[in-house]
Amino acid sequence: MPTLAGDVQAVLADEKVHFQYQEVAAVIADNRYIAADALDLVEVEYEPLPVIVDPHRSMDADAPILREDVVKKDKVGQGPRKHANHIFTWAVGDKEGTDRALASADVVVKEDMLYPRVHPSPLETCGCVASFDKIKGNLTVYITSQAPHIVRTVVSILSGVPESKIRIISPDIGGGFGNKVGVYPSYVTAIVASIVLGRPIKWIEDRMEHLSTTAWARDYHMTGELAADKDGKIKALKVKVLADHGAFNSHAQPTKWPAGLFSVCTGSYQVPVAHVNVDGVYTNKAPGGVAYRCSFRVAEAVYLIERMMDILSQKLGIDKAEIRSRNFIQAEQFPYKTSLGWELDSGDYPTALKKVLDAVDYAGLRKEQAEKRAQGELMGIGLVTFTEIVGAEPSKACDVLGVGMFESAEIRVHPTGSVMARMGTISTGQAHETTYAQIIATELGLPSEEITIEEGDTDTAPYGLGTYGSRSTPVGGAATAVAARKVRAKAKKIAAHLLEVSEDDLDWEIDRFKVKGVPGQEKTMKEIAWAAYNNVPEGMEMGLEAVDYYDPPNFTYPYGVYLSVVDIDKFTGEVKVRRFYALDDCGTRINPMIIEGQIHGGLTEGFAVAMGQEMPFDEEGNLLGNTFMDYFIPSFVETPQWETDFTVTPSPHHPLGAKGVAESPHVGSIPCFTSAVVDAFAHLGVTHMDLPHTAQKVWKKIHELGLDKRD
Amino acid sequence: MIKKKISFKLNEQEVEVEVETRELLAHVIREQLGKTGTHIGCDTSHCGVCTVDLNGNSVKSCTILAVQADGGEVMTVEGLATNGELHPLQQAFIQDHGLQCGFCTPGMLIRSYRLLQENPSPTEEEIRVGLSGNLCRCTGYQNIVKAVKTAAEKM
Amino acid sequence: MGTTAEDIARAEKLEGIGCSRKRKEDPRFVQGKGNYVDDVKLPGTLFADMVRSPYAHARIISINKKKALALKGVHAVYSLPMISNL
Repeated sequence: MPTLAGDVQAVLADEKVHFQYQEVAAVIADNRYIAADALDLVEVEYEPLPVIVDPHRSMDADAPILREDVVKKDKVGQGPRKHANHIFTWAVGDKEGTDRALASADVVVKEDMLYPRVHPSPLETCGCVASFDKIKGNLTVYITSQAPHIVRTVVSILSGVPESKIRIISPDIGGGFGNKVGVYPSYVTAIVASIVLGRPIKWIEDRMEHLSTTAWARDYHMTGELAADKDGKIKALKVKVLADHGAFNSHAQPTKWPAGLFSVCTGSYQVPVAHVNVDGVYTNKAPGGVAYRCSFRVAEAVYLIERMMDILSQKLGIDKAEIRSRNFIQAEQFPYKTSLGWELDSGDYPTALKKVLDAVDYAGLRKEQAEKRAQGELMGIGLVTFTEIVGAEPSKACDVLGVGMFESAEIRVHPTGSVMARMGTISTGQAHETTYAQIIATELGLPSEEITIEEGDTDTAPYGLGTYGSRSTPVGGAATAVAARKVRAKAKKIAAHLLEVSEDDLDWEIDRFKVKGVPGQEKTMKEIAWAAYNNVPEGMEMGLEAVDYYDPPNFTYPYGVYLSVVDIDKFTGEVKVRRFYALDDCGTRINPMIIEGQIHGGLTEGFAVAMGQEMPFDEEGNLLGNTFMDYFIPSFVETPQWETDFTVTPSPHHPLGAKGVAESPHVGSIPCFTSAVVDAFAHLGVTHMDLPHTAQKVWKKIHELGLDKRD
Repeated sequence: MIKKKISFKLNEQEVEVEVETRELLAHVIREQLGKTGTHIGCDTSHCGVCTVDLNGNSVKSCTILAVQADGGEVMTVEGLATNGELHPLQQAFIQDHGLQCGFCTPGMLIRSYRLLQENPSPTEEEIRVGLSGNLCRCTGYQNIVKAVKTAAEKM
Repeated sequence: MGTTAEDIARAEKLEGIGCSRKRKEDPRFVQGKGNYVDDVKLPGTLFADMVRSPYAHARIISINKKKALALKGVHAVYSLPMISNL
């Protein structure tokens, strides 16, 4: 089957298996117990082949060829290729200019860092129920999908069933976090089985299958070089990445962006010149590399630049808050064009930084740290001032299989003034039923309680690209606002007709149109809704509804300033998070309660990645640890208390000024934890420690430095 | 496969089902008895989305056999509300935004219910330790702790 | 925009942008009435499960489905045709 990235992926293994737990055969049985019994009875004989686990070995001259099926192709969606195990090279920026700046700068810091393989692991695993009606020729699929309309298109292309006869329903989804964007082999198997057998087929993964085979994230081996003058002003940034994509290139990026939006790695800073080079390679691991609670490869980009800023600060002996201040893009410079081509929409970084430093008494913390250091104790202060790029959107920049990444909303106002609205996005816990209604309530002056939101059923919802990359508010929310404004524009014409005045004589106020300067002459939206079905101006059609397919002019760029304080036990290596202060600026805030909830959740997932998650493989390619016994999901006990704060800098191009929020806390917190842990050792010359900061790894560093000697 | 007829009280109603002896309680409750509020998340008894109350204890229904419930009393999330009135815990989870995707919520509620039976006015730490067998990926736990405190005050 | 107390009350009643409105989704979730994929129950549903490779890189020599197909309650075993010998 085709992948979103332009490769092909085996639904069931064809001659060879390329990763452990790859699907080889499917059993269809009366129930899950019999199916499990039958799995043991299918006898498969294998001839083991040499394995590549380390991506640094993928392009060795003597490396075994992994994908014999594409060995003759010079392109696997995104070429050109320079080795049978090479997938793509993607480069952006001014290479010569960057090299020149690096050669002539006062200082250059360089660091290798690994953003390890992690798994989004929502509590609900993936699954589907496929039901083909042989008589009508209709296919209905209930599926854990963050992008049901895309699934419909892919299923139609694969099966030959017209899209009009395919109904994809994403019901309630128990968390997605980027894991439920792709189309998995088992979905296809269930669909094919239903078509062949004419019976509904249910497939539900167990946790081990989920962790072993569905979309993981990252596995980015990055090298950063940051050049600056002696005052810490950045001169250039150069980044090289080796990306381990696993056995098939099926990361879920916009089709033309093999490294996603990684080139936003210049961050919140004025970087005069930069260059990025990313090579993707095959290894014998499950395919993936999705955007786990971030826009495409943005977690990686933010980690890289925020680490490099800390390392530069250490090299120059300039405080990490100060060095960031010196390099910030200033509020008046927005919209700001970065050296790698993005146009940052709005921001006020210095204000956000100051607010956080004041709130935590940064100077006081540094003083305390100095005292602790004098006593031989390990205390670290982490700081990040990150910028995200979200809302995979402008169709001129992004598409999936050629479909532009717009978003849609359809709003119908009933005669009595209640509303039914449908969107192309799908909530996986973000509460779209609540927040989209709030947008419509404000735009139309109708109570939220009487506004019903529906999404996830492709038979009824307008085509949309789905929910990931913080698209819902930036794109879906914009579509909702614009559709509502179309409704209001028609309502205004009806109001003018009812009040026998010109449209220009009317003012909109909360929930009604009022005739300027004539108190009492007014029509509420409810009255207008009624009139829309019986008394409209001549030549106007009845009804009150609108659809909008919103193709935004730009991405949105939410940002945040996070500060963390950790205390490290010298004898166990345990890192205790004493404090975590997160200030987010996501522009206009639609529902503050939900925003805060999203931030708590994102920070907690960031904490998990930073402090314990990893997916280690042995040299045979066996995944060591694919259950919750080994894979770290923090519980109530480990999870720190979060303190949240905000500033509001609206996006100038979004109809509501909103930017999206759910991913920032995940993207931003991970480098903030690393920043804090490394900071605890900074006075000893340590510049970087790779994720995750488990007690064992931290203790190793302590031991290496000889800090664990008892008096 | 050996089948056995079992009966137990489910949310105060007597139920009788024929099960394979190897069938898990979670599957029987969900599939035979139609109470799908109880979920399954990890198969290794770590996540707690399958938590139900059995004879006055919180148990992970994906890790015990249905036959073990024979003659017992089982309570699931569907049994929390009485006469259409939400239990104070259910109200508090809504009030304090203690849920997002909702997948862990039934297990979280039914465990919180037992916790408050065991300890009607727990401290923050007691809540955190008491619920540590239930995982959540969305909320970061902070608002769940708040909700359990709110409910404890109201009960 | 109106700024009288009455106007503000009217705007607040809408529960629009900026309101920490309680979630519409919650009443069903706290009562176990969510509808997730595994909760979908259609009459006559069969269950699919996958045979998975224990190896990270290997050639498949043969797949023998006979015993599995002989098990009562098994409707089909699928693999790619070219390797589904025996």
